[in-house]
Amino acid sequence: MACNLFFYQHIRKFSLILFCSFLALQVFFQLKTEYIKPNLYIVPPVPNDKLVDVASLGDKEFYFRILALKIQNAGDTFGRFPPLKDYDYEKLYQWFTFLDTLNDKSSIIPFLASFHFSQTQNKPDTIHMARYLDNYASRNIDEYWWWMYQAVAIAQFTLEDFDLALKLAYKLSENKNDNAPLWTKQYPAFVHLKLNDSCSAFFIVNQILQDYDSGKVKFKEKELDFLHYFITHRLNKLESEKFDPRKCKSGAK
Amino acid sequence: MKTILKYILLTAIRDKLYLGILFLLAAAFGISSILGNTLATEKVATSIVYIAGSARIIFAVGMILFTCFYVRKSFDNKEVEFILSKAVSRNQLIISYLLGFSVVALFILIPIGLALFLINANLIGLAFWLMSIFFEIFILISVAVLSSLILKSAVTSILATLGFYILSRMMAFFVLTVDLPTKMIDFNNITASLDSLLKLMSFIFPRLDLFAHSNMLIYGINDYQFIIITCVQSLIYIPLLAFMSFSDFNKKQF
Repeated sequence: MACNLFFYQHIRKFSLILFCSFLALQVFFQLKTEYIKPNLYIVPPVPNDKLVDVASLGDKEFYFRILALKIQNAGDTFGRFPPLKDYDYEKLYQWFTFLDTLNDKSSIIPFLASFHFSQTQNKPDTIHMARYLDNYASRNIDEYWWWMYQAVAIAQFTLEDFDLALKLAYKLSENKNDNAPLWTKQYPAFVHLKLNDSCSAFFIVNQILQDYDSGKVKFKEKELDFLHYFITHRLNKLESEKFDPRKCKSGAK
Repeated sequence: MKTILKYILLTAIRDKLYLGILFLLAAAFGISSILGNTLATEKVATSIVYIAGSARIIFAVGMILFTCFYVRKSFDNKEVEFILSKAVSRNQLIISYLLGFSVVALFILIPIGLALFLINANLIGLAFWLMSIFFEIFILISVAVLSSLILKSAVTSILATLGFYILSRMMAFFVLTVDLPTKMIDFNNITASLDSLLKLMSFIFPRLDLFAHSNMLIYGINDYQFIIITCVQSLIYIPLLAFMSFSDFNKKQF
């Protein structure tokens, strides 16, 4: 009875002491755990392709576009705007390949690879973008020739890897899309000229003209004007270099 | 039956929850359009998919909440007993509920369809998407009515229906897991029983993961097989749930 009376008389004091003790414990706990911080990665880990069916809840298109937005804004979180040179491009390549499994018709990912992520300050990283665009466009070169051209442009102008650019340019020239411009067929010649291989460039342009004469291909008027300008311009140069096509081995590549 | 249908529609119009769904849909349209426009390219297509995806979630959750609260409230304020005292059979009451809620759902589908039409969704794809989402919601309404009849509390019936919806949307994963070769997993008694459990679930739950794919709103219909599957699944599952509801409700004593 006396004990109970003592308890009721001092309950407010006990409560205050207990409150202060637990507050002190909470502060102590926070001091000991404040080193645990969220991982501020720039490119997030690539999702597991086996778990797509769970995460997408049956609507892969919705999931694809949510992830596309996420990868476009990757790194730009918590007030950060990291430069593209800090991005992990190998991981980006894996992201792009993964996203293609969700939707292989959309042009969002090749667009981001060509016009956004290829602008990195660390130029060797763009090899991953060229590799991705090559894989993307090679599935259907007739439809995706534009993305193959972007891969060629990255290899030629950003990486300055003319061997790779030439390989990709030949793939570009194989397209049979009637709406693709003439220069897509002519592009290997441009790269050959950069490599000072006038013979191969000559054969490519010669082949285009033969195809035109035989009616295999049809050019628009403006395309013919461009081809005429190209030939005239090159002829002047070839004359000054004393180029003799008879010395070329036929079919040089 | 007509009177009950009219009554459900009238209470839906008066209900703040129903109006809340329409308000949330309007907010989702706005946010989806803004988010879609932040993408570097394919802004319209992305807005369409975001609107469709968010509308489906709001629509499904909203209809589950509305149905479960409505049915439980009807039991709690003795409305059901009053209706049954008139010349209405128990089975007729269930059918009225199912039809009434599906008409309520149709009214919500109109602004969704209109919004997607106005931002240039593929027309054939939109027609089939609306049909598919209507069937999906009809199945959910049937589950919500059944769970509200079986369970005594509105909250538990809502949780049960939401759980059912999420599991049904994950069925593709379950089916894939059941098909995994035993060599790929550590096969023992536990995994074997889990495998059997998943197989059993895949028989009981509907394949809602095949319903209302938002890619048809952009690219149109490439494969009509999904449409047939959606229709067949609905024609099997809605009557199944309706008969379960009849069976349960006929046993109930007031």
